[in-house]
Amino acid sequence: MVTDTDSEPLIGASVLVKGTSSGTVTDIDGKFSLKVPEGSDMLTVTYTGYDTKNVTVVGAVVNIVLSEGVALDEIVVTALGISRDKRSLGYSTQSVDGSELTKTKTGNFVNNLSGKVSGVQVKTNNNFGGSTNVVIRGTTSLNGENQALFVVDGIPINNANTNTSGQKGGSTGYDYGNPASDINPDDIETVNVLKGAAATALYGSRGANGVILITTKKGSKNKGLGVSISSSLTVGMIDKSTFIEYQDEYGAGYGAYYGETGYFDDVDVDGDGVTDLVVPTYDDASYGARFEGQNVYQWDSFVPESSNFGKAYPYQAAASTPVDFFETAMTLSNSVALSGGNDKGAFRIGYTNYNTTGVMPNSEITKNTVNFSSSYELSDKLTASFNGSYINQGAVGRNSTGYSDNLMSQFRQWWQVNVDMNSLEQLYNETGRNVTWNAVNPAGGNFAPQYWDNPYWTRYQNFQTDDRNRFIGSASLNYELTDWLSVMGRFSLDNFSDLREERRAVSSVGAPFGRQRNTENSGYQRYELAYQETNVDVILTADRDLSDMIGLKAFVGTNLRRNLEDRTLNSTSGGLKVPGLYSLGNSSNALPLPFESYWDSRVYGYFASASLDYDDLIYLDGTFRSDVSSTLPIENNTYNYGSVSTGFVFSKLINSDVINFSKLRLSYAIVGNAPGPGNVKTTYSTLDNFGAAALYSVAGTQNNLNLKPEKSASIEAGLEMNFYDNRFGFDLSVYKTNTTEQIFDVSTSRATGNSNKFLNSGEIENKGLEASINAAIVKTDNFQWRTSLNYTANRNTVISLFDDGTGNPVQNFQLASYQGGISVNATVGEPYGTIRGTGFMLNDNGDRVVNESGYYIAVADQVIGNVNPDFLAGLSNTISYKTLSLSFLLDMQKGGSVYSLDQHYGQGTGLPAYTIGNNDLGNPIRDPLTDDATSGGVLLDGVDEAGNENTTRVRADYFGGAFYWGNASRNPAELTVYDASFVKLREVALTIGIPSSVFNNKVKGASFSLIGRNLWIIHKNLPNADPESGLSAGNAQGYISGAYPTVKTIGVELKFNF
Amino acid sequence: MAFLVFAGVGCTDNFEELNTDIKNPSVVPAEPLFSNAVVNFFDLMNEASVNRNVFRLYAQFWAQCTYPDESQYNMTGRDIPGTMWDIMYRDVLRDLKEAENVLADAAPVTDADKAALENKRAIINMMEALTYVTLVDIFGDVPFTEALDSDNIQPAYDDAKAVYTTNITNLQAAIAALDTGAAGFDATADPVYEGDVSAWKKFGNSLILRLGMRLADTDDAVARALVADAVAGGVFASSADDFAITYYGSAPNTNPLHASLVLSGRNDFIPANTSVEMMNSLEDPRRDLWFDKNGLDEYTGGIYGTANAYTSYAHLGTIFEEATLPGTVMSYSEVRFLMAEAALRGFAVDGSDEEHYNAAITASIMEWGGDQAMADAYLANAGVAYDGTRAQLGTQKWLSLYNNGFEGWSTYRLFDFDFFNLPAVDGLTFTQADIPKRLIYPADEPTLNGASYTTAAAKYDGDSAGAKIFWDAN
Repeated sequence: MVTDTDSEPLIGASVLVKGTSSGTVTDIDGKFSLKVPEGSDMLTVTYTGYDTKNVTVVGAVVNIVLSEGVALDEIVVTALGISRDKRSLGYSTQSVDGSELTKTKTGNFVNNLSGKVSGVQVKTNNNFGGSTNVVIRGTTSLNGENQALFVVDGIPINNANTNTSGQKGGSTGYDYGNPASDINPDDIETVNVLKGAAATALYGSRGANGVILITTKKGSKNKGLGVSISSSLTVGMIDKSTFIEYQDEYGAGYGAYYGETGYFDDVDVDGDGVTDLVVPTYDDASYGARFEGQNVYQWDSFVPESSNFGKAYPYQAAASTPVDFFETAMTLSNSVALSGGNDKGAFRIGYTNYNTTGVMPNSEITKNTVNFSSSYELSDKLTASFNGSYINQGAVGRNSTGYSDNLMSQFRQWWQVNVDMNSLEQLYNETGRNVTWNAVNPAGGNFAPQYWDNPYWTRYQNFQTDDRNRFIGSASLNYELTDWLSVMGRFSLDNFSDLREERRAVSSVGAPFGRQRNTENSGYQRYELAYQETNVDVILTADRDLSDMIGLKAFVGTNLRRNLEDRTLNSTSGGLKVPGLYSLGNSSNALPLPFESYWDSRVYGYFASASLDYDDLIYLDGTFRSDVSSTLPIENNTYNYGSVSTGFVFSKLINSDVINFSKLRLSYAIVGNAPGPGNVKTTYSTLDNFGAAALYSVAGTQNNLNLKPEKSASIEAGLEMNFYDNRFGFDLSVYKTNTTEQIFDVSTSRATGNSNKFLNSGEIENKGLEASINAAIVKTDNFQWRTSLNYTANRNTVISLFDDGTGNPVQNFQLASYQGGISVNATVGEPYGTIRGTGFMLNDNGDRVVNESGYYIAVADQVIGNVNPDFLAGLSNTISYKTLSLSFLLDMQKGGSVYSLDQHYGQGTGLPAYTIGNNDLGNPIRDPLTDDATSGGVLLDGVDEAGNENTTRVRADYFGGAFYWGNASRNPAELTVYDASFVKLREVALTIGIPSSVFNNKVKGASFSLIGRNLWIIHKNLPNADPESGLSAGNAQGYISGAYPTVKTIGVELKFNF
Repeated sequence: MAFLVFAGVGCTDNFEELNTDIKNPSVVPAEPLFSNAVVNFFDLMNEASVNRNVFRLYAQFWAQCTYPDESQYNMTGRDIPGTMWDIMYRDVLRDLKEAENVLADAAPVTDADKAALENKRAIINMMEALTYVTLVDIFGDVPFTEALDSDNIQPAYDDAKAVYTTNITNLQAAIAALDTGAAGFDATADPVYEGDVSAWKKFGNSLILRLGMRLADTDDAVARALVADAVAGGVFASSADDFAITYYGSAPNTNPLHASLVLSGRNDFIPANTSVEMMNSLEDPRRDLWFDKNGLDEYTGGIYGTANAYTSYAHLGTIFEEATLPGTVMSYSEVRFLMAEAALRGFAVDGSDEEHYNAAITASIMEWGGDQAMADAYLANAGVAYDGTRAQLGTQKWLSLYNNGFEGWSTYRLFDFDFFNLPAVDGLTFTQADIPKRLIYPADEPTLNGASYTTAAAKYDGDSAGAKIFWDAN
């Protein structure tokens, strides 16, 4: 039995026969049972947060008392699911306990890793159920996959971003999330992050991006039935600092060019022979008339159901704005788990129901997870194990993203501040029609939407749904051939099917929709994705001491992997025949030719690993893997990877009371990043028929018959030290990774007849420093304060790209180009991800130069930003007094840039509060320019070409002036590039442990928590949005368009253990 | 385990098969490649999307409503030149070349099949020549001899005049190779002439006529020879001969105008004051065919180059909204205007300049549903009745090309109009010289094809839109 110093049982402590891999974990009562092989009598007991203890076994029952400390000696899961003593590793890994991931649940446990692991950048983009970007140690692949590999109990799971290119490129589409979010955080025991190539080398051609290893909770042998229940309820509301703050003085229009007044259309609405003033409902901007309470006909004056019907009424800023559109989000999570075991086996079965509604009306995600794990000793030598999770996730009303057809671009970029949100809601509810503020010509009887629908119509009629059924599981047999040699066979499966349906109701505004991406006023689209990955692993493991001083642990094995991906997409065309019927058969025009894609790819891997230790002082590891891949040209489809690493526990040589543990690490490794299927041979593109004529086209991308995998060579050094009874400790790593043979889809001059061509060329270098510092600042019996800091600084440089075909090195590769006239690039000598666009002209003093009209002089094609942060840091604190504990996490990013299309257009249409106010003369900036002291306009901050301070004001009374988006030669793109730094209070939890005595000992443990997430953005430089928001996970970051506000959540959680 | 290892090794035999796309073809016939190229070319030339084709604006036929960027000649906010270039090279020329490659491997057996194959090849060559001269008309120097080779990713730009000369020669050779007694493409694969080889021949000659007149200001001798050659070969004889594609009633096969004006649900365009006021002064009957007064007392065009309230001006008529409106790249009316100009210049064509002028205007009015009486009345109006001036001829030709923005803008360039309006943009001053005489090169050519781009750009004042291409001499 393992207990702490207060005799409380420690659940889940690791007990290992010293020098072997055989071991177990303690059950809910702190008990364990373990067969100790002959010749061994030493057990190593580890528990996170406690000092590791080596105990000699005397007799059948051992009682072990652990004392708290900052322990680094722990058993961690390494590549291919092999358990290792962390002490022995020559490379960096970092674990996060499962409880850390459930403290403030988000529906995507990946989000909860933010700030908790050094070297890992986690970026949550604020889309409802959206995809989270996880990059470990920087971007290594120019154009390929940079997301970490997720492995659950030895099963690699799919985490691919399958959003459309239109979604990723910022035009339109939904963010369908990253499928690793299917993993239920309540089932996670620990997460161990393999950061560098030496740690991941056994994954060979998929090891280049780091690996996140998840170990799920298991039952324990020799223990009765245990039940644990947890229940949480959280509510969320938007963080107003991440949404637009509107001006409230000027109404609809783009300037003074409507009718006699300049701001209103002149229509005789009431038929009295005198023209009346009508708001230009069809224009989606707020550079119109000043609100003076003048009586004018407004959008709802023409809606019979409105109380304003037939009335001209006072023109003023709306009482309710899009801020009032957001609802209170609500998340309910209930989880129950049963576990138990006898002397032969153990099991655990868990069920979790998770339901969340977002801040957008009509948005909901429901997730049901059943998880089962068991192991059984069929004989003394043969153990069978089975793990499986079935997950169903259903979503309704994910938010649209990007520029087109996204409510956030309506609210942030194209809006009239005179429009009352409550009236829109009330009229939609009352009529069920698309009663829009943005009607084409309501006075003339045309109520069709010009650019924008009623936002409630959008949410309740044009919503998407999706449903995913997934099974992740494995079955394995382990046979002990001798006491030092065992063989393990494992079959694992990740299988899911995803159905995504998108709808547009009849009478919506036209938007790009469906298979053809034509402008459609209504329609239905159906996308089906079936995915399967199977792995067969056979591993022969040897573990024996070669002498008193030298131990050996080695294995050889093979991995046969198969990936199947089958996708089809089709949609109606030309609208729906019958309103409200969402089926492909309800297409007005002939159905488009469907999109179909089917790929079956295989990788066969052969691997070996050997670890030697000398007296627990020096450890030496070597690994080798050879991968044969079907996605490479048949003539050249085998590539080899490997690593060497060493750990030197020099504290063993130092006799110090201060230093408890110290280790130096050094490693070198080569890993790969293999291309997906279908990039070798080129086929024709199939296009929709033109009448009866079939159409085919030469594919835009020229594939590569000589394709090779990308190769990363990495060197890493580290130092771990613990001091003062392990109360203080740190783990430092430095690394340098050079990734060559970059596979890129190079853009070529279209005069070649192709847009792109696949090449292997170029090199990216990442070097960085990671640090984790742990401290038990206060450590008394009743009061503890523990703190840990994770720091990540990565420097990325593009070393080379490719030759242009005439032997000249190309200097720039465009990763993505975006609306707003900017692009994200890889440029030789610069970091990956520079934002380019028109920049300010600066004089020698660094002042912005203006022309004789007072506008900025812009310079084309400048580097105006860099998406890479200078550093990331996460600071966790847990302060506990008796059974009360308070923990909080501060998460920060310093540096990095982001371009905001929301600001670009939003200021151009006169929406944000800063587009009004007074100028240097004390006059409203929206007053006309004059030559005297009454002049409106703004004075741009800069100097003229002679270096004198700018004294020429420019117009701010219409859209085409100081804030205009359409003329980059005087309003450069750099105007809306911002520093992406932030400091956030990411997580807060206050937990009260309820003693068993309260429940007459019928309950073993219970706790009550108050939790909060994203409660406060303490610092940021991006106005009106969260600098972390973006389009979706992937390589193109640093661009914001139609961003969703951050949701602050608070809630309560109850946990019981029986 | 050994068994599994060997099983694994054995299985790699099918790897090549596994990595082959089984949902898209590796082999296709020439026809669908040709059809795709033709459809892409016509779609592009008939487009009104501000992302792809802004020539109805540059010809000042149309003005914009809320978002006037393109009528203010902004070519960088949206990479319009890039889109146009991409479609021409990647979606038209590359597929034409591929169709030719596929035909080169064909082994026809019968004489009829052999003749049809030669006709198909010639028709493909005619489309190629048309596309290259159109690229020159838009940009000036463009890649030609080194184009369409994926192994040469930095193709050099050829001199504009040389591209013209070579393609005219190719066009003439293709016309000569046409066997009107044999079949061409199947009717379904030829959305322009439904397999009628003699119709392609008339188009070829009409195109030679157009190109001849393009060169009239800069190379009189060549122009005269080309015009004589074209007329002798037989040009369009009626509107039935128009080089026009037949569109269908439903997306995606509608006239692209239908997508911009109807399906988009947007009101981005209205007739521009430049053309409307000209037509008002001439009392042009086509106003009733083309425009809707929008309840106003008279036809009022939106102010070119500024934002306009859609509600305050005349609207485009429903005729432009028809999904099946033919997409015309060259019309009989244009041919008669070309003949009129040739006659005016004293080139050897049958008929007088006045006859051709009157016939051209009549054909234009009839094209849009007008009748002979309407045409006769119009031709009697002051300012319309032929006065033998180049200015009048040019103005009428320009108006007749109302739905052919590209040729309308080319006419502006050839006839050197001085009455176009200048955009009003705060902080910028426009002069007549700033009205685009060409499109600048695509935004990514400087980075993707830098050296070639720089050489070409130098010929156009550093890639200026105001720089003139070789045939735009005056």
